[in-house]
Amino acid sequence: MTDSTRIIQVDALARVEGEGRFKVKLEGDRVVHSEFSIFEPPRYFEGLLRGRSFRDAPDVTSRICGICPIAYIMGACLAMEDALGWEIPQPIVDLRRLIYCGEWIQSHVLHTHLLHAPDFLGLQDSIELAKSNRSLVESGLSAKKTGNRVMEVIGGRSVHPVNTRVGGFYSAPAEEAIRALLPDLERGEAQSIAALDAFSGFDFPDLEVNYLFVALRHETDYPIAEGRIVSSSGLDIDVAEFPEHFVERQVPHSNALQGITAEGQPYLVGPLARFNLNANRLPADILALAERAGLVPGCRNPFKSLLARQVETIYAFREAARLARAYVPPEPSFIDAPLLAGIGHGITEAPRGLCYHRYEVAEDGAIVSATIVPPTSQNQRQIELDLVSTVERFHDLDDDDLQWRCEQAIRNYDPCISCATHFLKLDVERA
Amino acid sequence: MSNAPEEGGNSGGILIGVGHAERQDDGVGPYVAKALARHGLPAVAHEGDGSGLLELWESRPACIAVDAIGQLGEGQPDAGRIHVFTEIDDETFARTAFVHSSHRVGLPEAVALGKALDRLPDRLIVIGIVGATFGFGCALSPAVAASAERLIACLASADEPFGQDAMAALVQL
Repeated sequence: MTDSTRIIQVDALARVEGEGRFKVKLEGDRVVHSEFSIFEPPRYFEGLLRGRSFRDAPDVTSRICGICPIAYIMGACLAMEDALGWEIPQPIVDLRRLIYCGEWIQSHVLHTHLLHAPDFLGLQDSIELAKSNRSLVESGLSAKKTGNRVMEVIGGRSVHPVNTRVGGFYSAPAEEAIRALLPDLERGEAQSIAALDAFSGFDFPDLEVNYLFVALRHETDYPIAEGRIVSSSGLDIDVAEFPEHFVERQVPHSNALQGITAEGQPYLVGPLARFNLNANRLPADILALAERAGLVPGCRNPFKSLLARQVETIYAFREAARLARAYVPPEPSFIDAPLLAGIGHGITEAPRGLCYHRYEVAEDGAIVSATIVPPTSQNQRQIELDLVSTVERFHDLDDDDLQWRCEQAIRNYDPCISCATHFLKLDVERA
Repeated sequence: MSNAPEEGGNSGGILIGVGHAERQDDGVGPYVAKALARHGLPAVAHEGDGSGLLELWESRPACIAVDAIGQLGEGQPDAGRIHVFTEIDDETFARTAFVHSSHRVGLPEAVALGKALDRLPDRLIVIGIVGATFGFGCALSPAVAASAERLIACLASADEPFGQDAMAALVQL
């Protein structure tokens, strides 16, 4: 360390879930060393599942995250149904999409309105934001309430819903209960469009990153829980081929595995990847709103993930309302069938990106092996690289402002660090 | 008991027990809420999401929130100690007391947001009970369980548990 060495340290990064630490060493304007360390202990969910009934997987994996339990429930259900060879009727598929819209809404607006927006306004948190832009916070809280309500009506409760099961739902919500959601869903779309307009006026830092985007892509719809895996480099594979193309590696400085491609390349999952790979699956008017806000297909500015997340919130409200209008209670509310031994794969688009499940099930229904790859693990290496890009791009900033910009860059990912990490401690060493 | 559970609406006071019933002392809030509900008081358990707390208490005249907290000072063997927060503008309340919330928008943030948005009840008291252990399991530690029972007895025996006098008396716990 020379006399000109400067150290920037963040002991507790606020407004994310989880604990982690980042250290970077700068020589001039070049980063010569960086580490994104996740020191949250392993959680052993995959081991916990071995030997348990296949029916337990949705409820057990739901506990991985209190913000995005549906992602784990649905991934587990899809993988088990794939392993068992069960075909799920369309009304159940539609009801699953509706509850997933609820999760997207509540998760996205928590991040955009309460956790990430303050970064762009130089505010410490949502409490300061509430004092300066009350209507924005009020609309976020209102939207979150609606998202939670969708999850409660269908899933029994908003955190770790209990009405979901392999094969469908324990019981189907009454038609009137679903229809009653419509006024709030319609109001939520309008409020979300207004919020997108507000966000479009933010000063987005000028940074372009050469991402490899990876997301689901469906034949007709914006992807949530169905589709093939595609990438910006032309990959187009079945869900079952995920392990052949994407791997996880252990790095010495982190307890969480890092996702990379089989060729060793980092990649990005989440709203910006989904938007760029599926922009033409959005309704034309919503895509027009995105473009008016400054989010155009091909966008590689990570800070504009805020806009992508908000565009998806608008879409989720629109889609939820469509599904609620068309809702007819599925009869029966779930399917069951004889057990078959097998291996199954399931992938859905969690709010933060692809969430992959693979299970091997024995003839008696016991889980032989389980593999779960959450989105923040997949993004972890790319987060490290984004921080390097951010420090090099903005190295002229003083330490406090650079630290702020780095934290903002991490929050671009809405990292569910509870699924993969917790607080972030940032050291910048300048030589 | 004058404050019987309501059939609907937000016209009366409410006690919210914040925490996770399966994380040992973090479950003290839900433990208190369930016990008082059995006594007929309007009391609910809540996992602590801030936006949900705002919904629960807004438009109500009074709210008592009960949550587990960490030790407020280093080296103090004070598990079970009851801290009653009536001055919610206090920065130490907002920033340091409720260290065991796993959500970034938790009870203290909900209180601060509610103040900024005029979405607080007329009377709000937050009761923090210092926990000893926050691992897996449903059992409270002996010191925390004793404090919980003391709080339950105090509220269950009050004629008007959400009245000004009864809430003021909680400071003496």
